[in-house]
Amino acid sequence: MADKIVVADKIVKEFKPNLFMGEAIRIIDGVSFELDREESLAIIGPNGSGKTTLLKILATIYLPDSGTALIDGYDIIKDTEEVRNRISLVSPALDFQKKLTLKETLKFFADIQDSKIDQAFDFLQYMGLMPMLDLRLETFSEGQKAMTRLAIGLMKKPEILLLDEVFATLDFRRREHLIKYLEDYVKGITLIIVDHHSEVVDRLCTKMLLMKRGGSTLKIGSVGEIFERSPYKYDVIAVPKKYMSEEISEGFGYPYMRLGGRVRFFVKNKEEADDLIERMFEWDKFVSFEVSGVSMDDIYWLSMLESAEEERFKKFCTQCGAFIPRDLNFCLQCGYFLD
Amino acid sequence: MGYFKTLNACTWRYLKIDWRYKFSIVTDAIWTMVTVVAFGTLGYAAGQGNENFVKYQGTNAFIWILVTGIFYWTFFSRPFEESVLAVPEEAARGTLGFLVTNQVSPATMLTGRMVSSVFKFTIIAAAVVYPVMYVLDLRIPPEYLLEIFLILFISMFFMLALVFIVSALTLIVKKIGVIINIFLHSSRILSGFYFPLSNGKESEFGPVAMWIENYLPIARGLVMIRDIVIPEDKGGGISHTAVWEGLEWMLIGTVIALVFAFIFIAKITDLSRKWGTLEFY
Repeated sequence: MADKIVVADKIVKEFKPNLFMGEAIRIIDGVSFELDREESLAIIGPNGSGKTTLLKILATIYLPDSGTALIDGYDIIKDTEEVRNRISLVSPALDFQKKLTLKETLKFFADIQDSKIDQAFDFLQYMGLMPMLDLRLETFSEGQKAMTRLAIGLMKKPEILLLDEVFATLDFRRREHLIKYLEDYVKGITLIIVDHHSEVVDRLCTKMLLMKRGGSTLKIGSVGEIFERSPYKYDVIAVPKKYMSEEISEGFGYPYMRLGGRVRFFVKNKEEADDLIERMFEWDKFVSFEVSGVSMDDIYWLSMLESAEEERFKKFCTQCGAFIPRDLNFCLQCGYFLD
Repeated sequence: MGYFKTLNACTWRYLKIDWRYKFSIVTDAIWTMVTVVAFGTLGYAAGQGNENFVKYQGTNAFIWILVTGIFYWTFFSRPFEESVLAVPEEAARGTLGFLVTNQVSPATMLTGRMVSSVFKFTIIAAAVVYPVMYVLDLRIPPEYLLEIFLILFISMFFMLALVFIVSALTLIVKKIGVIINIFLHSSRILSGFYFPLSNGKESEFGPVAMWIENYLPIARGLVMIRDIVIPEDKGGGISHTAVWEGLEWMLIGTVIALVFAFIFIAKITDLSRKWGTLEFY
């Protein structure tokens, strides 16, 4: 039994849009991390940062172009059989044969995983899906399908459970229920989670891997370390009376993030918090604002903000005003070449 | 043991799914019936005044050739298509990657699909094609039931080898509709479905045609089926010894094809994991 349950070393993955010509696109760029037993990792980053591809490499669906990873001491390239015995990937991409019942579906997956169907019953009971055992999956909602995926993943009793946005289609009540189940009942399993919900990361993960677009690592560390390293110690959550434009938000002079109708500002110390509040009073168009110390939730959003920082350098066409991806020097809409 | 448990699970799953799509079974049966009518008509028209067209005698000889060909190919045509299409279907459903992470190779999944599909079409062949054969005086003698079963059984595994090869291509090439037809029709031509290969033995391609008829499992299998079901006094008839000798050659050819196809699909599966095409649909 290896000391580290996961050791990923400089993993690189590129995909070619056309197999026989053209440039390869780098999806993952030298990602490394280690996990001790019972540690849990959250992989966070904007769309296109290679989170799901990284999970699929760890799950042995894809082969890395260079670098490798050890799962419980077994190499994901050379010892695929051993690795596959230890992992279970729960992906939203997994759909089902709609004409089969829940029980038939679980039976099939139990047989191929060499597990037992009743190992899923505890979870189904907890999530209230047992009465649906004999119903066909064509009658299931997206949330119920998500639960079915997780039941299949848990049925295998893996050492490492790879969860790819399993919470995405769940309503608040179900999400809370599921987090609690994973907190209370899933012991001794290493979780590697890709998710956009900060409360999922906060409650289920001890470590974070922050990725940025292009698949490179922005930050890696324990939640506490990342918390310590953050230059921002307070946040101010403001609820404006009406829509607050980018210009106005930027005018306050502090990093911010929009979340629905709210704007979350980040400040480094009490002086900056006082300054920001004073400016808010001057603007006088807030329903409310609330100051608090930076929480795990803030760390999550700050990291997202940081990884999206490059987006701030985005360009617009001087001819037609259309957005131009930062890697291009011409407009996709009107073909105008930028200087 | 784990392999057979997985294969069993895949086969049952496909059988259940096929059974739930009953309308699809009906359309498959109708399609088979339409094929029998179309080729039967062609055989009748071509056979008039051409009694020596094929090695069998009588005005029905060409109908017999075609109807026995349909009987044989009913077991494999649609199962071949259904099995090859199983890969893109499973990939689009996201199951392919999941199966791979659980030690289920595309080859195992395809074998399950092929077995279940052949089972379905065995029922269709018995219900739709055999009654027509019976009316045309083409009978399966009870003493040849085991041999017929073995011919079909070995042929199924030869077709499975072709399924592996075409399915391997679907792991890296996405639009494969025409490729399926190319393989299917080539196999049917080479098996002598449309026209017995032995008829070309006097031509410049005669040696090649005879080699194919002797050593290509599906060609040898179809020839033996025809000789078993076509009445002896009309040019049919084959001894048990000749059938068993033919079965040996079929088995050797099928094993060689399966080994090659298995290595091919395993290599392509690895390549598709490297290229990232395993799940891109």
